Amino acid sequence: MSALALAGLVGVAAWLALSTGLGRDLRDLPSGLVGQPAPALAGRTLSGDSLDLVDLRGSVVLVNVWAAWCAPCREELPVLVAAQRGLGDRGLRVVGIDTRDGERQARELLAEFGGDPASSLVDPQGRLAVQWGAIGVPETFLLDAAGTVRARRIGPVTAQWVDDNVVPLLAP
Amino acid sequence: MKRATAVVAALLLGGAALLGLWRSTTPSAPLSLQARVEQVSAGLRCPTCAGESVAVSQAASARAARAEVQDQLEAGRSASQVRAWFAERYGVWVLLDPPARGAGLPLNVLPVVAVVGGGALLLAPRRHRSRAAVALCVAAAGVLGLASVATTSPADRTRAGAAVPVVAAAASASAPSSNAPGADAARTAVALEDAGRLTEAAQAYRSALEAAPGDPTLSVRLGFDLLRSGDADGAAAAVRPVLQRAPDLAQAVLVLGLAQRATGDPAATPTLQRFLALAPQDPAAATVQELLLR
Repeated sequence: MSALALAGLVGVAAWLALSTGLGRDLRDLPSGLVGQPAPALAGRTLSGDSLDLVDLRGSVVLVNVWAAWCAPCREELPVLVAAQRGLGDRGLRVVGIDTRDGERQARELLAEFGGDPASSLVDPQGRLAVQWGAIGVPETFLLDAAGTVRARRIGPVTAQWVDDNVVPLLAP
Repeated sequence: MKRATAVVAALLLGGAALLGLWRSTTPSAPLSLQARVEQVSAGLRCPTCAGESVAVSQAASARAARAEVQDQLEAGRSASQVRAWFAERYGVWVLLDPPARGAGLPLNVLPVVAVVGGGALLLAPRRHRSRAAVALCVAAAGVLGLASVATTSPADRTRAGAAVPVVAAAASASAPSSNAPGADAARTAVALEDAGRLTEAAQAYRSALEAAPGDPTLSVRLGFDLLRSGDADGAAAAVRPVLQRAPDLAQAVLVLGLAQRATGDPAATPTLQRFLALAPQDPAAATVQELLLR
């Protein structure tokens, strides 16, 4: 009888260990922000202007945490530039958080791909990235027109991801 | 007589256990702002290097998190409000001491079950003891079972050590194989390293290397170990022979580059760039890229 109870205990412990995700990568974890109102986001941009997320209420917004030193960020930049160009008319705004980066390198990279320096906030200390709960670069948050976080993408954004997640939120 | 000794021992142990429970659940006296920043930071997992706390990590994101903690405490928010702020953004995994619900529940409840149940077991009449032991096991199993049912939020699911800081982690990428020569010394070295006893770990790696001269894994681990203990010259010397034979071994290139950087050698930049070219997907790559920008 007590051996049975012990076996049960071990079994439940093993199940608990497996079900709580021992061995899972942090990157698989959902953001605590999804379904919540977006955190505040305001400051100076790479063009020297100021930008406040509050002013974009009513637009669907992609908040993209990036840096020029991050190779996968270079990979996704053309996708983001194309999304802004192709879907801007339907209410999409792409806002960058250029985190812990050299401003010159960041502006050069944007110039290379036709990105807009007035849409990327500078984040020299990484404070904005922490305020958004970002665990790395690139990382992208999708906000609906009401300012609620609808999805979080870790790693480079793809055209497919934009089609599947962003397009359904936009005006037809 | 024997029984009296056993009873005294049991009472002492029980008393110590109760004291431990009381200490772990009673808040301490008010602290200075800096001490509170340290305390809150120590309870937060570093966002990009989950094996470390925000208080000890040198990663840039951990410095940013610490600054955030300080700003919020200065603004008059309480420690638990700050913790909740981080958990809202990152999920509960960011808390190093998980809350008493979901997956964190058994950690909080099991000690109580053990102390109370163990005490009851001792006090139970001898002929009922085996039945009481079964009851205790069932209670513990019940706690675990309830907890796993209650764990519905995937945000509660946690694991330390996914993306890791440059030195500690890259070293853990390749554990010494179990049946290689010097495997025992190597295992001892890893255990010592995990316990933070770096000098002794370095000695153990060196004796493991005597049994397996030039072993690349052991040499690289020795190199990381020496880097962590501040011996950059030793670290470079540890990986140089490996690099002569295998110039493209990314981890060895990384050790050399970090060692060169620590000694102010201008060769550090090309070496680290070579590491990035060899292992762009390495967990250390982002941090190395960042180092190169400074």
